[in-house]
Amino acid sequence: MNDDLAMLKSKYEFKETRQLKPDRQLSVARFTPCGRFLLAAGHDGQVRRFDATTDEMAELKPLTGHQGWVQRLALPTKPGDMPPSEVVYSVDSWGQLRCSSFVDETAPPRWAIPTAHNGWILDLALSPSGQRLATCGIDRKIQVWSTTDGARIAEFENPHWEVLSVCFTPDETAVISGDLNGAIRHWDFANGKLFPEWNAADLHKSDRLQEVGGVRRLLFSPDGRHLICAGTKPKNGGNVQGIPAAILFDWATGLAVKTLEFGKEGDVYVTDLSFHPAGFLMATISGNPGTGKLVFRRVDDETPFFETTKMPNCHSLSLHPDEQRLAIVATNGGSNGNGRNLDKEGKYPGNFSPIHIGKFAGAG
Amino acid sequence: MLNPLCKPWEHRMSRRQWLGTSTAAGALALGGTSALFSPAVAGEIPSDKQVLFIWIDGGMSQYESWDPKPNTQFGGPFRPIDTSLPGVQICELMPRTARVMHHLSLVRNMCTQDNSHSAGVPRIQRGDPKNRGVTYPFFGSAVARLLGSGKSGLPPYVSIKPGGGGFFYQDAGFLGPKYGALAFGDGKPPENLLRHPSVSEEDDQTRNALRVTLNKRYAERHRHDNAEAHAAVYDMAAALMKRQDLFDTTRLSPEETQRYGTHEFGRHMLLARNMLEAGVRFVKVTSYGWDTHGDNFLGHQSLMPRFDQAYAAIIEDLHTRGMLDRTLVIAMSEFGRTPRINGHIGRDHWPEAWSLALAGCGIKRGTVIGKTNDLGTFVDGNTFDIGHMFHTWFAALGIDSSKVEYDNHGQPLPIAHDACSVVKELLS
Repeated sequence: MNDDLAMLKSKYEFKETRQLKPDRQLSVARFTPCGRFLLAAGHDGQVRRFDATTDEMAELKPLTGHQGWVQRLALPTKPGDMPPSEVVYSVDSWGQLRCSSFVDETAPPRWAIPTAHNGWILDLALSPSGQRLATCGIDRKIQVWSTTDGARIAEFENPHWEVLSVCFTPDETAVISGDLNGAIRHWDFANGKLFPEWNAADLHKSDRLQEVGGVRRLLFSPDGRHLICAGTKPKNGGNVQGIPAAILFDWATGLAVKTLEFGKEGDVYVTDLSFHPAGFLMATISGNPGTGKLVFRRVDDETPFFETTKMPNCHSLSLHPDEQRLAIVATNGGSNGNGRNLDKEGKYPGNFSPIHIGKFAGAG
Repeated sequence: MLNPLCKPWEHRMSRRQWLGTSTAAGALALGGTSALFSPAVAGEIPSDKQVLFIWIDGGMSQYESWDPKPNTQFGGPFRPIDTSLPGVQICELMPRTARVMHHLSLVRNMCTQDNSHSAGVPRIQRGDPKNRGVTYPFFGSAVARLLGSGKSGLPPYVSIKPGGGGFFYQDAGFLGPKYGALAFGDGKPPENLLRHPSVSEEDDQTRNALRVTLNKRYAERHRHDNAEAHAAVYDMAAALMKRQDLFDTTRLSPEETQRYGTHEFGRHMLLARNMLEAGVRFVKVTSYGWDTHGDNFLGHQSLMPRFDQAYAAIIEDLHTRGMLDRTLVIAMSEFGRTPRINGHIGRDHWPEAWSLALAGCGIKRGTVIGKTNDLGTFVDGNTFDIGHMFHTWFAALGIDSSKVEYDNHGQPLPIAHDACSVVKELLS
């Protein structure tokens, strides 16, 4: 590792300070813009809340009202943004989209659309201005909503395939979708323009009867020059194996300019991806049971400057607004096994999702 | 009889012997040659019943199919949907099957012994009988032996599967290789099914007659099982040559191709329907790739609709063609999948509590047998092992498993696990 990368590692190496142990499996965690709460959601239809103002991070009463799984949350990026910043947008696998106060768990939702989609909503994105939301799901629809009142602004239908990911363009005139087949589409809801489809086919494979992989995550680079499409380069379906990867498209030309790989075949998926304000990518990786990573790398570097495999099956990461702390949602070790594995009391145990809280090595 | 481990020089033949054999060959008929070797027809039960055996290899998740547990710890993300059977719900990934539920019988309390594929698949398909030191036949071979080919004369046990084809004699166990499965890889006919253009029909008959004669001579001096199987394969080929139309996809209408789906499972199920219509006794359709230890939910999101499409289509077609009353339809895997969701967002193997679906002859329509607890972890109440299913399937086919036995060279053997019994509530 050269000096430059070593310096980055010494400053940003993740140091765990504590683990939260919610009793159920979670998919996503996000610090609120004010930094006072950590919100986390997953397999029990609740949006859990943790007090982020103390080291203990005690769990508070959750937000309820969803069904199935809640896998995506969206929050405004800075306190004081319009719309009001004490709300969280959440979606579930039964098709509901909600806007709720994260401060008062007893308050009714600001608005809720029980059948925003027909079935599993797979992604949720907030526009840079915070005025619009985009959702997509297994019903092959991409929809744009007003954050003020949940009014639908636009609706598009993806041909043939389920839509796994969505994000807004930096100028907010359009949304970008990524589907199961690796197609990237550009839906201009402001002007109605048509754009050619882009191809992230490396992130998809047809294996026997199954379509495997797809574009699981989408985000723009901070300078808006690149669209990053992440998932896996699949080897096979069934017990999915593949190399976690992200393809960078040049936004101006639509050409794929680089592919970043984050591990080997058993590491499988890039599950979450975001940019640190310092400009490097932070990614969580989850593959075979027990296999997980937190990776920091700059896009232009050939290798990460930091990587840890101490947390099995990492599904989500969130940077605290103080830019010092991180929360990583993982899965407990020993999560798999065929047949009847009972605990000491003779009960069949479920798995849970430890949330690893930590700081960067150079944090105060 | 000579030592079956014969040496090549024992078969040297003089020219005079050869000419004498050739003369006799011309007098023999082409078909039914296997009857020369054993009383193959004797012991078969006259029947017009057929079987469609849909094998979902790897383990379909019962949560994401027949036994949803929404909004529970292990229930997964999907919603339940109502079906044509009031009060019965299945997973939202099977909307077309939901509309034909009134034709089906669901068994939700399967509890079997093996959580591995390698041992579990043959164990399940053989009915997991008591260990008597013999290899029991797969269900298809059993039906082929007990009910025979029927009027069609077509191979009694065919297997439509992805990948390669061939003749799977191992399925037959102690019944002998004759009752193995003739497999059509990717639904394609065996290679070289058509007679070469340079060979006339007359020449073909002559050379087949010679083959028959030589086989008979061989069989007279050795154990007849292998010769019988060898002859049976040629008989199958001859029967298939007359029904090449079964493999001609240009004969299929665009509507039915679309209705079953153009994916491999859809194509194979459509071929299965045509095979059943042609009178094939036992048709097995296999789908691979269901072992979703990782990415189980988006995996089933991809897999289940394709199963749903073709399965519902064939149930509808068998019904509208008046075939459902004589065709036993079984859809199953070797086990289900764990309630617990692992770190790869997958489910592992779970023989403790899983489901299968039945329809057709002898089976009560529109019923659900057994149940699991609220979490779907274990069966609530009595359980059924695969032996119970074998007894029940035989009963549905009109075979009394309490009376009919195999005769393994003088050793009587039950046709299903003797500690299990017919599930009467499944029978009509």
